[in-house]
Amino acid sequence: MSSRLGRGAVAALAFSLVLIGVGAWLLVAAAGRGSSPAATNTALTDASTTSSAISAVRTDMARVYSYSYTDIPAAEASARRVLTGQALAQYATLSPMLGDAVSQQLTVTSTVTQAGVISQSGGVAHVLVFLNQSAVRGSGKPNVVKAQLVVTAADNGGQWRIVSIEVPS
Amino acid sequence: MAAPHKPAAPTAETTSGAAAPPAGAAPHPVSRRRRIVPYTVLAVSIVFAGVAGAVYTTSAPPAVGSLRAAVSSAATREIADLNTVSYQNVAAAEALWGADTTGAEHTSVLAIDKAAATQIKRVKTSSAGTVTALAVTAVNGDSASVIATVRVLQVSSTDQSNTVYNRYTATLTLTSAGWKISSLRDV
Repeated sequence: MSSRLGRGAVAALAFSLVLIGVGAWLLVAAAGRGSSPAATNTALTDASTTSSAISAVRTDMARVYSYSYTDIPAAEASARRVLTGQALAQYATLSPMLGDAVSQQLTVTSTVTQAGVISQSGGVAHVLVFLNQSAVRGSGKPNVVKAQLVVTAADNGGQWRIVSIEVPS
Repeated sequence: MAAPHKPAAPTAETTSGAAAPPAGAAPHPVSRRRRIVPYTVLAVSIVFAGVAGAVYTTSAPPAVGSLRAAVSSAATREIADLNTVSYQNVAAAEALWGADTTGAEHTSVLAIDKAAATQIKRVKTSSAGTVTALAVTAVNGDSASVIATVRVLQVSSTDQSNTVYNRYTATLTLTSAGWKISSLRDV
């Protein structure tokens, strides 16, 4: 073959094979890099979305877990406006507790003390939330309960809605 | 009478039917193509390798993403370590706590060593911490902040167990040995 093509042509073909091999390896490696957690998780790298998700979840979680015996229907309506999907079903399980709030003259005020995005991708954010709930019965002293939750929120046309609320265990 | 002259054995050229062009004639088009093909393949290969190199370079995750992943990994392990101790081998836990911390937290860990060891051995209780959720809240150069929840399983020498859940905010500092916890606060 080399006598027909010449040494230069044979060297060119050999070098081509090496280049094709290196190129193929680079493409495979690039695909692996692109699908790595560091690349697909845009928490902090997309600072604007991270900040927006945290801000919305802070406000929404305080709204969902705050209620007063003086107006339970208003608290429920307010909560349902920011919940969707599985979170709505989860909220429904709170109904008995909300019913008891009236008889116990219970007022619960919730505050998100810390929040951070665990991961976010494609308009969905998983946010770790530290929630402090201050419960007051009648004119009694407040009792503070600490909770930690992982909230999944979805960006629905510029408005974040809470999709699910889980207790990390 | 001399034997009749035998015709010469056919050459490879004549066998294949590709007769050599007469002297002075233009090269056969097939031969020219045959010479061009290897160099065309080489040119295409160079372009392919160049494009692949560019794709690889641009596929690198953002620097902050890589830092976040490194901080998350270190914090998950180190916060778990700082919630883990066996009363049967407190020294091993203390060594780990020292290796996992830097700055003020390192000083704090070393300061409580003796008192903590005595207390742990006295109550004969072991703890195993597991980070159940962690979020990196900020990365600024060689400093990073995280929040984390930890499940701690406490087991006494009589096999009585108890599970507690802790919430932490932590600051990590990048050292020559990697990300280390410089502050850990139960919140």
